[in-house]
Amino acid sequence: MRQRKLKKELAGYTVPDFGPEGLENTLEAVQNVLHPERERMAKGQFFLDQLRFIRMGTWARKAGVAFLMIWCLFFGRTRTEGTALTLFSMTAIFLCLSGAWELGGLLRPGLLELQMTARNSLDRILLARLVLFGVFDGMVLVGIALAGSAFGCGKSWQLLLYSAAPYLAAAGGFLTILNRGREENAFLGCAAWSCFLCGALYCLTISGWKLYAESAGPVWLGAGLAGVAATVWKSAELLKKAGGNRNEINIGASV
Amino acid sequence: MRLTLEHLSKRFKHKIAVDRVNAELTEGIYGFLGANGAGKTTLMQMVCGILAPTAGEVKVDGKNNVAMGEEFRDLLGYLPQEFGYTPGFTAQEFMEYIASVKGLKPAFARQKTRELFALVNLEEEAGRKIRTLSGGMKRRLGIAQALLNDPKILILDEPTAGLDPKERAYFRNILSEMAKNKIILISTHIVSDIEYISDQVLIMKKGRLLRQGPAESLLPEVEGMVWSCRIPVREWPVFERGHNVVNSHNTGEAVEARVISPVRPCSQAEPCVPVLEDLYLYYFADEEGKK
Repeated sequence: MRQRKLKKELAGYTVPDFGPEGLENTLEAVQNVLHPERERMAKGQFFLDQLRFIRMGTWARKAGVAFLMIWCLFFGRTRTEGTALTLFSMTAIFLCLSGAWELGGLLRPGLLELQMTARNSLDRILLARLVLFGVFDGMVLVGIALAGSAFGCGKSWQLLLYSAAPYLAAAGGFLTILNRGREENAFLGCAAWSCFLCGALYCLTISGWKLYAESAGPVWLGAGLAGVAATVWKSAELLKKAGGNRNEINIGASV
Repeated sequence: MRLTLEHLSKRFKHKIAVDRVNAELTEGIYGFLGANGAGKTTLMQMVCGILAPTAGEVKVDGKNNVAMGEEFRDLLGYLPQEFGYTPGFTAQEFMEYIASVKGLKPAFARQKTRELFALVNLEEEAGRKIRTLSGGMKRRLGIAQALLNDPKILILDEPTAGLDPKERAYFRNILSEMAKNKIILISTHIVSDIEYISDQVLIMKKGRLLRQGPAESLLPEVEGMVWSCRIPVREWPVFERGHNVVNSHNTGEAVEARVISPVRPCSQAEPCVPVLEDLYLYYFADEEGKK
């Protein structure tokens, strides 16, 4: 990469006549090319570099929730189908919650402004995390669904829907809260939304709805698609607010 | 490099925070002086591109700062009034995070962090969690992060809040040393922060830029208005209510006071050489409730 850049710079440089002025010009040109202070990461490199700044606690929480999901699925084989799968769906919400808390941490007043004025503005920082969490959580959900299916806990598509639909509904809600709320309230808001979704799932299960019957598949699919739409819409809104420095922020010091 | 503020205005619903500010800034240190609520932070945030102006624009060498995008942000170092951080980070991790966000390569970021920690005397605190640092240390960390990308435009909003006098003096010296080839904007209501280091002082009041120029060129405005006088203690309450008092010292029998007044405030008052603080109080006395 560096060699290519050097070759390109050298090709475009005309060597001046020997003399004090020529030497000075050459040194200045060299500084412009080689000066490490002026070297910047490429966008891809920046995305990968963000991995080391996601707190270990976030990954640990995600891993913990993933194990809990597996436990619910396998523990549930000895219990009534509804209870186990309800717990399974609920834990998927908490997989999303740990990522939302990490995103919320970036929107702290004071830190928010710092990131908005940096070369890789806040929209890129948020996008990097959204993509990383999306890919990681997606792999976890698909992996658990396939493993569950292999061990006779249900059909893989059903298990995927039972976890992905609540996950996406949670994600849409969290992003709405992050878009609107101040950071300190956003944490509570996300926790409240998680509790609401869990409560709703629990109430539907105990009130006799056959939520986990094969015939309820289209309902889960519809909920999942609505969650996808909300997540995409609210992600775009969050990124638009955060980046480009064209949009005013509502948080942080003003006057 | 030339930073131009053209008719810059910002309105928040019914409040005009910044009102048609015009200024042309080249390399040097500029001190924005104004009372709390004068619009300094809003102005700084518009210059940084955090807030969109209601009217007007900010230009760097004739190019709009928002249109320049990352090219502009690459030139920028910013320390906000309230400096925020991720709680779990150590000072070192925070610097590396900001360096990453600024696009610096990890190896260079580590080297630059070491240099800056040495500059702001935080070498021994590098491994400590930020939440365990004192207010002054956090402020110094904030200053260090603003310098990571060797900015050509450095914007410091109340940079010395929380620093002790020794740290403030040290900070002023750092700024003086790095002013070459940089445009440094310091917003403050602490006169001593900018009195001796700024090339130009810009006085803001209620969103408007009242005066701009080197401190020595602004001081003649209060020439002949600054007095030193000695008032008997029993007469002091009445005197204080009717005059703009810069400072006072009760010696027991009388109160020795420094007063700003267009006319001699009392028969034995002696004229004094004005300093920037007198000029500040001349402009902002009404906001302090003294006029």
